[in-house]
Amino acid sequence: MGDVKKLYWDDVTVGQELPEQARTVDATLIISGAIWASHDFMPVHHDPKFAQEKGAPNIFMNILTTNGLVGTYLGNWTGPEGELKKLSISLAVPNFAGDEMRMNGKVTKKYKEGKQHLVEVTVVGENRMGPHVTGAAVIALPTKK
Amino acid sequence: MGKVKRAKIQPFSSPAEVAFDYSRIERFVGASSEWHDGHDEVSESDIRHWCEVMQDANPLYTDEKYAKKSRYKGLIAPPVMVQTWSLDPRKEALGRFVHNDPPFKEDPHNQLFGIIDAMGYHGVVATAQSQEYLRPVRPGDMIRGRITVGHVSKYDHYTRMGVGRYVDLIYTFANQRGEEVCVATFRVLKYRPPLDTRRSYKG
Repeated sequence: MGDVKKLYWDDVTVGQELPEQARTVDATLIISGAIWASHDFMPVHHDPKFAQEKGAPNIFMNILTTNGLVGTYLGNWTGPEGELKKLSISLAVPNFAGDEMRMNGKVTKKYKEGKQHLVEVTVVGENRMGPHVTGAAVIALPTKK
Repeated sequence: MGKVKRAKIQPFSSPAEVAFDYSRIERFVGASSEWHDGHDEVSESDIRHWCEVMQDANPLYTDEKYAKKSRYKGLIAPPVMVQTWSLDPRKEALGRFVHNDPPFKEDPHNQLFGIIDAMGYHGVVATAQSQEYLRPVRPGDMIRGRITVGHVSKYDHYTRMGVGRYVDLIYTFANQRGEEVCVATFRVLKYRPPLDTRRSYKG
């Protein structure tokens, strides 16, 4: 792996922003995210006609893929020693094919609980229609000593 | 006062419209399903597929050498992946979403959804979830899940998808040793698809 990123709790400050990351949203991501990665065969995530019958203009991303992309975004920031303890997400506008989701995050809290050194982070993933996902995570980080 | 002759104009919201009857579903709130095993054991290839789609290069998930030296002493699955093994296989999923024939019909949440569907709220979309991760999931684990009905809206919500009700389900995931790996709340909107609503007006 060569260089593996390691984010220390000591180096995090409240108010700190996470680097922005963008991900192209296309039919391949939506369908492989639903069926191949998360085993979700609900047809609104792979069959445009079915999605239209249910009132949506096209197939859209399933919540498990959104959760996965947020998890990856947070993991990219902390490196493998960051341990995700809790993740809550809410969906607003759907992620349709032919869009892009830009993810941003911000540290909102830094605290200790027992032996654990924790941070709270809020995340927003936006496409061209507005926010697709807003979330809040609790992550345990390693310390320097 | 003489007799007032009523015009034969249907009111916009006709009483003939199917209405949501909360008293029919109240008994399911707080009820739990049996435990159901996942469709497959957790495998390294499942994890690799997930990481390819998410473009997740975390070596704990796919680099055995790195993972063995870590505090986990071996490969783990991404925590956010936990629900994957509890989703319906293809046939059962199409039964649930297309053919009105869900698996595990006796489970309280499935009975609940059957009644809500029949009341016209047959669209479903996930709107929020909250997961708390308690233990790592590893290749070879069998993840079992049970679902408890948490809360159902008592009133209609007017949403982008149509008129609907929110249903909160509480998921508990455990491994083959009975150790809880994750507890989660999953919120879905059960809604009346707008096209269907239009078709249901006779006037």
